[in-house]
This record gives sequence, C-alpha cells and structure tokens, in this order.
Amino acid sequence: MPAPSKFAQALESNVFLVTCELDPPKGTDPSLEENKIQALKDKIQAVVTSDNPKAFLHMAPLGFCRYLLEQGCETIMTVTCRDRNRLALQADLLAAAGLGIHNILAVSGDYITWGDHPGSTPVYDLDSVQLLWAISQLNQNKDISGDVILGPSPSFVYGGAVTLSGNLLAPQVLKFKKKEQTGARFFMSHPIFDLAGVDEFFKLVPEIKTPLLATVCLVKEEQLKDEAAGRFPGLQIPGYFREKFKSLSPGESEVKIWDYTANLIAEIKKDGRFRGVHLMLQGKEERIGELI
Amino acid sequence: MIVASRKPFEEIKKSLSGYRNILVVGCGTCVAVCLAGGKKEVGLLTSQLRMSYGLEKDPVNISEETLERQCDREFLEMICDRVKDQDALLSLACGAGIQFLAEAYPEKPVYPGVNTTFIGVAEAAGLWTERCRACGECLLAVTGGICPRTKCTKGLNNGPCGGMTEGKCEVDQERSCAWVTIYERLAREGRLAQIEPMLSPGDFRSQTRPGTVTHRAYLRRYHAGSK
Repeated sequence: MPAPSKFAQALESNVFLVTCELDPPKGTDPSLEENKIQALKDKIQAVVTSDNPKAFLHMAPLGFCRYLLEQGCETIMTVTCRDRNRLALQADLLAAAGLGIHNILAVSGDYITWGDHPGSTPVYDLDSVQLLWAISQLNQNKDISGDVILGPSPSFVYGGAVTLSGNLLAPQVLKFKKKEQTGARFFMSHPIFDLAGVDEFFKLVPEIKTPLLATVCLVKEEQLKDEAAGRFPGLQIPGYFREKFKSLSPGESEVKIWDYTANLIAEIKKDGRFRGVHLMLQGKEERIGELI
Repeated sequence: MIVASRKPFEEIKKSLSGYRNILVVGCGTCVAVCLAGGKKEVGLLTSQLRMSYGLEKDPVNISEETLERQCDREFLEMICDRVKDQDALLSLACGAGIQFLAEAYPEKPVYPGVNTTFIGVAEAAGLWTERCRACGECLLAVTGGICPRTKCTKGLNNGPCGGMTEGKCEVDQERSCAWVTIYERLAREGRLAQIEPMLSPGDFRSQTRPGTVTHRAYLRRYHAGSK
C-alpha cells in the first residue's frame, strides 16, 4: 500500500485546512497555469482540480493532476458523473491511482447544457453517492461488479460535496448521510456567504464525524450586476450580499468584496464547526496570499 | 402516451422534394391526442402542402389517410390499395408507427412528419410533460410514484444535486426538483426510510436496444426451444 497522501496526513493533523479550486487549461500545455500553481502550492494543503467545470471543455484532470504532482503540488482530483459511465469512471480511477493521484472529490457535475457542448449526451450512469461507493469498493481491491483488482489496492482519500444553506435542507441532508455511509473521508460545501446561513444544517446534523470544509467563493463584480450571467450551479449569492456591493463603484466593490471574503474565511476558522476552508477564487488564484 | 411535435413545414417540404404523388398518413392514437399527427393535423398539413405546391405551380398530388393506429399491422394493411399509386408516404405517427409503415411498404419511401419526444401525460390543455423513460427497471415503488430517472434532469438515484435552489431544478428554475418532490411525498406518507439506503446503480441491460417484450401466454409461440 502506498504511503498516505499529503492531504490524508493533513486530514489527520490539527492544521486548519485550506484548499483551492483550479481549472485545468483548455489546451494541451498544463504549464499554462504555472503562475497560479506556483502561487498556490506552498500556501495550501491541496489544489482541487475541476473536471470540465460548468460543462466547459478543459484538459482532463487526470493529466493535469499528474502535472501538479510533478510540480510538487498536492492535488485533489474532482471526478464528475456527467461525462463517463461506470466503466470509464473506474478505469480513470485506476489510472489515477497508478499515476499517484490518491485524493478524489466525487460530484454529480454541472448539467451539460450549461457548457460549450450543450448538444452532448449527459451520462450520469452513476450518481455521486454511487461513485463514492464505487471508490470505496476500489479501495477494497474490487470493482463494482465484485471482481478483483490486480496488484496493490488503491488507497483513495475520497470526499463529496454537501449543501449547507437554503430552505430545503432535509433532502440534502438525506443525501449527505448516504455519502457519509460510503466512508467518505471529507466533505466540501457549496459556497457559503455567512455563518448564520449554515446553522440549520448543523441543527439537522448535530454530530459530523467527517471533516467538513466550508467553501468560500470570491464573487466577481459582474456576478453581482448580472444575476443571470453570474449564476452557476451551486452558487447562490444571497440578496443581501448583492445589495451590499452592487451600488459601489467598480474598484470600490472589488476591494470591499475582498475584505468581506477575507473576514468570512477568518470567521470560519474561528467558528470551530469546520475542519477547513475551500476557496473558489475564479481566476484570482495568484492573489491567494491576500486572503489567508 | 407517446408525445410528438410536428416537424417544421420547410423541413417536411424539403424531404418530399421531387415526388409527384404523396400520401400523408396520420395516426389516431397518441399523436392525435397531442395534436401532432391525428386526422385534424393531417388535414391541416395536406392543405398547407397543396397551397404551397399550388403557389409554385408545381403539379404534386397530395392525398390523406388517418389510420386508427400505425403501430399495428392490421391497420397498416388497410391502405394497401391507396399506397400502390404513391411515390412517397409522409407519416405523422410516432417513430414506432413511421417505422412500421416503412416495414409494411418496403418498396415505398417513407418520411417522418413529426419528431417523437417522450412518454408523457396531458398536464393541461396544449401542455404535455414527460413521465417515463421506459428504463425497464421501474423504481416508482421506492420513490413515491415519482420517477427520478425521468423527472430529475440528471436522472440521479439518491437525492438532489447541489444545483437545487429553493426547491427548483439547476437546469430550469421554473421546474420543481424531482428529489425535493420525492422527499416531501415520502415524508407525508411516512415512507422516508425507503430512500435512506443507497439505491444501487441501475441495471441497464433491459435498455439494450431494440427492446422486446413477450406476453407470458405467448412465450411458447415466439421462444420455443430457447431458455
């Protein structure tokens, strides 16, 4: 069995975890994102590489993650259920383990019509709960048909997404519990904008055994002004947040949003209910030092 | 029922280009109910084609016939005399009916006049919505009579995705999230325990195309000798 990944070790430590999303390039050269990689790699516990984010074509995270590892950057590979059936998902996971990629974030994936190939077939042969379960089976050296995997078993550290806010949490909690039962090692929330908004979730789930990272999104000015353009799955910008910043001048609102985001991260760190924070900086990854 | 919608007129006319004698064949069942290919729609399309060819002074003969069903051989055979003199057939039945018409008359070119869309219901006047994907592995007993494979855009089996916003679907904010609806219904009925365990990945072998269903009483007739 390979040594535990750096992220697995961080999960076991007392360190407040910081991870950050990074999209692979839409191209063949992973070094296109070199500046961002260098800015992130020594400041956080892991870079979370997205998988055709918002259903737009990008380099496969399998290749990008391998490049990140070669740059000395710990990585969590996002795997979505949207583009591959159970054979392809498991095949990619075996390849990932073979390439030294051991941390996986398993999600359903933004629907295909959001992206740049809207006429394509969405797959969803497995959903995110079933994908997490499939990974748990691979870790036990068998595929989901029950057949044995040859050679050493993978040792994936796998986690899922969870919704913490909104007024219809009960069905989300039901799904969260199913994910927990698969043996998920960590959870990352959808973006939150304040801590009051997550109280209901913690009432419904008073005891969380699995490390939970709160996701904080650095909102772009254009996302405040144009509600439709700024919308993407999982991002629910509250009305009060929009009102607070949208009337400010362009430069001013950017500064205030950065301050707000940095304060929110600090509050999450102090709060005690979260094991860490996951950042979505939407292209501003090189400035991560200003937030943490 | 099977829901279809008529193809754009220009597409239909383009596909019929070059034929002099065309029979428009309607179907009196599903496509009649969803106002795509019944007797009335056949009449409207026939008139539209005649007017269009007439304006172009193109001598094309358009005739019409609406069968009780196009998915049954006995009804298709009833028009064999009329088909004889035709250069092409334009079917307004669903995809199954169009193909069965083409099988019944292998010497005649057959064209579709509708796009077949889904198995659904008449939600309101002029509004049809999908209910069934014909997956061959019905989950409705577990999911409170609401199909997640059809009514969830992603066809998820184990709960809502993170894109659900205030009970609405990630893809269409006007549409209720199927999993919220399932959850609320099962909660009302005290049956939430049914969806607490993970629903296993679907077995899609029964979706291997083309599908075949044999009634138990006919097994010996069609599958004699097979196991």
